[in-house]
Amino acid sequence: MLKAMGLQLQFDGLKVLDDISLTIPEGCFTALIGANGCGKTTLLNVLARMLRPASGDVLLQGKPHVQLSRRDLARQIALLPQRTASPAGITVRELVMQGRYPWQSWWQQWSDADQQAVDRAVALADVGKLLDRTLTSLSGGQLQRCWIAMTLAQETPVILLDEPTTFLDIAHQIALLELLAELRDQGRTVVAVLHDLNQAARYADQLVMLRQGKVHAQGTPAEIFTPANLKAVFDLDAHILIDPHSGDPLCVPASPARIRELDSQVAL
Amino acid sequence: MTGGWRWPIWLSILVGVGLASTLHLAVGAKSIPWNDVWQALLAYDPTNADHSVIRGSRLPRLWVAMVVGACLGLAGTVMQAVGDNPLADPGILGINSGAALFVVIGLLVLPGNDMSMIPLFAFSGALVAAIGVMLLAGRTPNPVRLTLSGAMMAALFGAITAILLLLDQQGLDSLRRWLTGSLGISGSNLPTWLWPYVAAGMLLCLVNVRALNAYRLGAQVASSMGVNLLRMRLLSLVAVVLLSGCAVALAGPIGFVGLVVPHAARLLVGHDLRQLLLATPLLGGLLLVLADVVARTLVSPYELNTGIITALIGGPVFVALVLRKLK
Amino acid sequence: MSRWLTTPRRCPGLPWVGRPIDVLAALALLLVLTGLTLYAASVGSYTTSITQLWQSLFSAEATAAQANVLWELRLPRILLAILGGAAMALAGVLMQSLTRNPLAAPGLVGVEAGASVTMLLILVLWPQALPLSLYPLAALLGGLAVALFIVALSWRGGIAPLRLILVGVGLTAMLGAVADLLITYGNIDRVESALMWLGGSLHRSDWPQVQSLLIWLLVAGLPLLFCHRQLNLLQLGEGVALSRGLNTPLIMLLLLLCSVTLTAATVANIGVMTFVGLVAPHLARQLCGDRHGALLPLSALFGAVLVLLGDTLGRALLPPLQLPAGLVVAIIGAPYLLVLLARQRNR
Repeated sequence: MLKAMGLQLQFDGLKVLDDISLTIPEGCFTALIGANGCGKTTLLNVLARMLRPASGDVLLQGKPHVQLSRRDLARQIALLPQRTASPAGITVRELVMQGRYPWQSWWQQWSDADQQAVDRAVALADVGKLLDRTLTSLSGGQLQRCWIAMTLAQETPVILLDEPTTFLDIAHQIALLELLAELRDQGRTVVAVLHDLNQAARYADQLVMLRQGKVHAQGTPAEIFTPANLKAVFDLDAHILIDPHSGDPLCVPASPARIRELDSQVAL
Repeated sequence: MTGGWRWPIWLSILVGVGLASTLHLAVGAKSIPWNDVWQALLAYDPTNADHSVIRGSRLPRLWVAMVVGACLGLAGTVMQAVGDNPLADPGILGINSGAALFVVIGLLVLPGNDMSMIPLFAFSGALVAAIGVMLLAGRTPNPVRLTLSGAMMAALFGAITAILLLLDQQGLDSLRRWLTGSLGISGSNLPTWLWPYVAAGMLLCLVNVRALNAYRLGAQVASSMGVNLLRMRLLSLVAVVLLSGCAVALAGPIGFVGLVVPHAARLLVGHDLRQLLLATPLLGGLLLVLADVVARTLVSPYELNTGIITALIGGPVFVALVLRKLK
Repeated sequence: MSRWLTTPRRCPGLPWVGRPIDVLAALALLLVLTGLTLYAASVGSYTTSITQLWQSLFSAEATAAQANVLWELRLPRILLAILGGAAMALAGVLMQSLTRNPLAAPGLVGVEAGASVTMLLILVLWPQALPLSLYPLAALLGGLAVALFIVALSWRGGIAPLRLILVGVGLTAMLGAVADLLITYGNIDRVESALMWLGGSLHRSDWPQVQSLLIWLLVAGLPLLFCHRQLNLLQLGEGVALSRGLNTPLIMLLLLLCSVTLTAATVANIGVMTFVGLVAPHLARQLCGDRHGALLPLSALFGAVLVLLGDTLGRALLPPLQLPAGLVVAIIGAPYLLVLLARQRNR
């Protein structure tokens, strides 16, 4: 579906992407995880053709995506960046409507198909009650859902999200991840950069662990969510437990200070 | 962090100032040889025409250049330190324009030649402009917003000044030259009523030094170290108003000195504000004296205005700074 | 009722969406503009009543003097004010939206400074070098040249708004010094007329200028009204715009070119009017926020009203002295802008 081959990219002499090759399977939820500065956001931007790699290709359905026009690419891949601006006087309705840009043109600025797409997106993201509010009056969680609605209105088979959960509180984070899982169930391909390891392990079908610009491991959480990998990628000592309810792997960081405390208590 | 005092650099600065001053006294519409200059300073002979030129018109002009350069350099350093903005300068931020406008109002409104009130007009103008820029720039002024606010204020004051000059056609001719920054206007009657203000401005800078040094680490860190931020900002504002107001009152609005001098000083003596506050007046005086030499000799026997020279040099320096610092 | 006015709705059959309240605002502004036009046509050192105006326009009964005043003096002046104001306002909206900074004025990229210096050079140094009719073209080219220089200098794979603004400020200051040089050392008569022109003055208006400005407005201004979706998208962030399929670097360059062209054409024909480009978009934003579908036409209307008002006041306040329209707009507009921005400063 979406395939990266041999991507290389440098910023100021630092290798941000070092010969990255991976395949994003169709209809799956893939999570990119890794320490700060390992190249997750850059990789996402290259996949969405926002940045050009120094060498290497990205193939979309077997064809290099640089061959597509901007508009055709936007009909296939939608990206929600990490930071967005909230201009004045725009209501949620108008924000979601702007997601239809790749499907419109000079003479066809609004059609029934556009309206239906917006209605579907609004229902999916559950922002129907917020439609007439201005962006600046919304809370962080509500705003993020509205941006998701806009991305959904673009009606693309592939959706890329850069740290969509960062500014949300825990209940909203889970709600967002449930929404992404539902999109996956509908057949879309979802790729998200997540910083919470346990959430990634629970919701993603595929995990990609990045370390210093290289792909360290790729596979299902059951396969690659191991203490060895966590130590290598995050420099973290952790145990892996299996959630008794869902069967998903959970990582629990080891705390040397606590262990010493417990040991000393036992010794006494 | 404190590299100590780099004596060779300080020595070169002082020597530079000395040489520039002598050059300033020597050149002009009539070139006067160096030993004559020394003689005029040390063994003044009232009957010698050259000596009277030096003592009468060039020495005062040299003084004005040094004082104006020192004031502008200091004002720029304080502005850059308090605003945390490497692009701050009394000219760019419209403070000079405000002071100039109020001085024009004063000259048109006040009867006769009562010049002693002029600095007060200059200070009020500088204060109004400073407050206007701060209001416009907002709570977290980033360099771009500050620069744009300053440009807007400068444009506004410039527009009002232009209207006033249109209304009073006579005033146009005599004020034209002053408005582009001219050191020649004050001439031989050195305004003695100005020195207290200059001294006060410099004193306020000295009082503020430790606070400004601490502020380099950020507002919150400085505050937790016991710095009274409000007092620091207020003192800095008053210092900048006094210094730039005096500079404008003496020589009209001259821009870019306050921008270039702190950067040059930082390259020479480092970022410690104690050394900077000593180096910038010297370097500012040096820069303005040199600019004045250029202004007087470039199209001899005519005189260019110094403000024009500083803008022609300072503009490219500003652009180079922007291109290097904003990647 | 107010809900009905502010919800976007679609005219059945037409492929456009809009809010009824914007249409109402535009109609109201058009009314104000018409009223102001009538007033401006009647005021001046030769006062004309409305009936005399009507006669000059439509019937053959008017005296030659009346018709002359109207057709040769006032009408071109009024039209030039309206077109110039609209052009500067559009240029201002573009600059503010491209740089995402509410303080950006059209003169930021040095167009005004370049055109001014060119005109000063010609007027003060070589008044016989060019025929009068070519002056606007020279100013236009001068302004464009400086703007392109600044854009090239700050280019970084595309237009970098921060660098553009700051480089523009620096070079504008330099050009200001050159202008000062010419003003200080030039012949005072020529300098005075140059100063009048630089203040944004319509006192030399004639029909060829109206034609020229109209053409530029149609070429560079009309297409803008159709670019509102792109501008809206740009406001959401360049990353967002790119990933929706907008060719961001190209669009930003084209829009910048339009802004520069509009500014240069205005400066060439009626002088410098910086504040119109700053204030008119803000006035329009009070009504419609950042929705460019409405912001662009409303700003143009506000700009036209402002310049016409400034020119009329400049003529009527202290006759026979004529205050340049640009300066009057600056004095009216700047305090308003100060208050507005001071209140918004927490954003």
